[in-house]
Order: sequence, then structure tokens, then C-alpha cells
Amino acid sequence: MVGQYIAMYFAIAGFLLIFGAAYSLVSTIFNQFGEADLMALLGMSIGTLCMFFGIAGIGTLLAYVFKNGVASILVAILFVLSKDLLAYFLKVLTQNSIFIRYSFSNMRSIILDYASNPKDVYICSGIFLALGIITIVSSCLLFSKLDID
Amino acid sequence: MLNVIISEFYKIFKSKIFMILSVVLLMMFALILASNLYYGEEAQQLSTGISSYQEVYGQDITYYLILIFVTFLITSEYANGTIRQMTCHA
Repeated sequence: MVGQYIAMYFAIAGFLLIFGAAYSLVSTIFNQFGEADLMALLGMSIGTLCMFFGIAGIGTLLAYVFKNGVASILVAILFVLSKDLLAYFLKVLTQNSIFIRYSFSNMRSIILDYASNPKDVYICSGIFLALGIITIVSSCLLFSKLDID
Repeated sequence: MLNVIISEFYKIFKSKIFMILSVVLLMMFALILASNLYYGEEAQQLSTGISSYQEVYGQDITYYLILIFVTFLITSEYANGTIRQMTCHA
């Protein structure tokens, strides 16, 4: 199961990175590459890979919970559509803005913004990485409890 | 472990969702290229290579693609009964 996850992650990350690089290349050919700090670019790339890792982990967990293609994809779409709504709901419930700060959209914006503080970028990357690890462990436990038993 | 990963890669590259995703991404790329060529310098001046790179991953479509790819691959194992064979074998 971990082998499957590793293969899936590398396939999707490779795919999206090639697409991103090709899109960037087209813009560079037609216009220019632009100026960016190398460290910021590196932080952004690492953060992007961590983001893919976390999101793939969520997808894996959803698939093992629902075990049905249509149901899992529908819930995944609902999850993406309501990701900020959930953060706002938690903020209203707890009166704490940390849920807005670490919502999926905001973390993605922090990772992809060159002007962001490098510390924030690494924190957000760490959160995505932790999310990926937690979801994979949860999927393994779920599989061993529900399917093998 | 390496054999497992290699066999999983083989399954992924042979799967339908991989083909569908390839076609979707190729079409998106072709559209971007066509719009750059069609709108000429006006559109090209707005973006640089780096801003385009940010733009690609700043959209929700990235989330959708990852989630659909992963869920489809895993749930197809349930549908085909591959996972049951794996469990019985283990």
C-alpha cells in the first residue's frame, strides 16, 4: 500500500511538474523568465511538492473510506469547493483566526508567493507534509481494520 | 519494495485515468499556447515565466486533478477485485 502511494505520488508530481515547466517555458519564450530569488524559488518548489503530497494523502484516505469511485470523487470535489467554508466555520465557532491562516487556500497562497516570509513557507510545507503522513497512516490502519479483518 | 513500486508504476501507466489526465493536460497546454499565439503581444506582456509557474499551481484544478487521479486509481482496485486478491495473498 505504501509502495502504491509512492508510485502514485511520483507519477502525479512528475506529471504536474512537467506541465508547470512547459507552461513556464511557453511564457519565457514569448516574453521573459522574470526575476526571482533562487532561495524563494527553491522554497516554492519544495512547498509545491509537499502540497501534492498532502493532497494525494487526502485522496487516498477518501478512497479507502468510501471504496467507491463516484462517491470518493464527489466527496473530493465537495472538499475542494468547501475548504474555505470549513475554515470560516471553525473561525466563527472558536473565535480564533488560526483556521483562516492555515486554511488550504491561504497556505497555497503563502507557498506560491515569492514575497512570503521563508519561515511561513516552510511551516506551510511542513503542515502539508504532516497531513500527508497522517492520512497515509490513517489509510493503512483503516485498510488493516476494515478490509483485512 | 522496489519491485512493488515498479509494478505500481506499470499499473499506473497502463490505467485509463492516466491516459485521460494526459489528454486533459495536453489540451490545457494547447489552449494556453493557442491563446498566447492568438492574442499576441498584449497577452504575452502580462505574464513572465515565473508568474506562469505560480499561476499553474495557484488554481483549484491542481487539487481536483490530484484527488481524482488518486481516488480513481485506488477505488478501481476495489472494483476490479485486485485488493481482495492482495489481502487473501497476504
